[in-house]
Amino acid sequence: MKVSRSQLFVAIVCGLLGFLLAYQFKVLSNKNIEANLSNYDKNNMISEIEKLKKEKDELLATNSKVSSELKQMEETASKDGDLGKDIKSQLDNARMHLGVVDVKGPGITLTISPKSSIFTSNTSGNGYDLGEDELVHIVNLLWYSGAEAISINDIRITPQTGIKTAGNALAIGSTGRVYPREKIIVKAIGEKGRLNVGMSFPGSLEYLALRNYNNEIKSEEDIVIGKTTQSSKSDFIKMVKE
Amino acid sequence: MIAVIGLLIGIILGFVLDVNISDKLSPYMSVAILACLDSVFGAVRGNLSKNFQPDIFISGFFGNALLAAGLAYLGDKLGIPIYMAAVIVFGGRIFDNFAIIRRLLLEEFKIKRRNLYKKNSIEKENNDT
Repeated sequence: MKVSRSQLFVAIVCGLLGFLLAYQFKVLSNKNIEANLSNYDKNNMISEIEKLKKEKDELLATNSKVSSELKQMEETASKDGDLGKDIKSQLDNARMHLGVVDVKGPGITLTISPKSSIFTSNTSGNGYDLGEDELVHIVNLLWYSGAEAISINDIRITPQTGIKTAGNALAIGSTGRVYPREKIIVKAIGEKGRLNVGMSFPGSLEYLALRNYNNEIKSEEDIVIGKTTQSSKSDFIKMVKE
Repeated sequence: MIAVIGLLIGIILGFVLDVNISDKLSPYMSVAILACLDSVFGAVRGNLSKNFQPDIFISGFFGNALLAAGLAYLGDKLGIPIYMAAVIVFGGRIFDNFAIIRRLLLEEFKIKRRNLYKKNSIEKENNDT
């Protein structure tokens, strides 16, 4: 069979087409396999989360049991003398400040909720949602106004709690998560008047994206703030002996 | 015939060879392949209607593929799905071409059958006389 030049070209071009088709087919089927894999991972991850949640609940139960035992032991020890009592009260005080015990007292509740976005068309734009800056600003204002204990959505703020944007949520410490599109409730125990003034000072709740949120400040007599679920770390700090 | 052999060799090469083309180019490749397929269908149609020209086929093959991939790329950069234009045009043309190919093949088949029938009847007449 005599093959002319044009026929040869046609063959080459067809070969190229075949190559492209086969290659693309191969690539896409590989991709599908990968997608299935990640699906599998997701399921695995969900079950892992469930397991960890259960584990956390159990640990919380043992934690509260052990701390109540500790309390009992301290009480029996402090019965012996005045010095022991003094130490005990100091210890309790320190605990309250560290956020490892539930506390209650008068204070304010600040409720922040996103304004309805009917009239603002671009709701997904940057700078619309609450971020770490705004939350840090609020917490800082509260500390400055003399707050003694603060919680955000019932997550206790301790001296070791950091606030950082994490994906579409805001991480509070290592355990808490709040979502900027949902209602956020900040509780603070302290002198109500000072806290109120601090919060309602002009501009203090107009900071960055906070102007896109409705806020409501309520003074209350009896606010309960739960203990932190994060354990405070002291791996590196050491007392300086005088 | 030679085209089919080329196609087969290409498919085998594609599966056997482990060539790495960047993953980013994959969507553009798909559009380019569509353009190539359109050219091939056009060529088959040209072949059947006896006006196939290799130079037109080859230039169309590469030109269409490059243009389609380029448009898809441009659309990606501009944020509008221009690749849809390529998909619709080439997809539509593939169907058009296939319709014409079908008609041509069917006509050819009918003519062949008629000829066969005529031949048979002539032979019968000859046998009778």
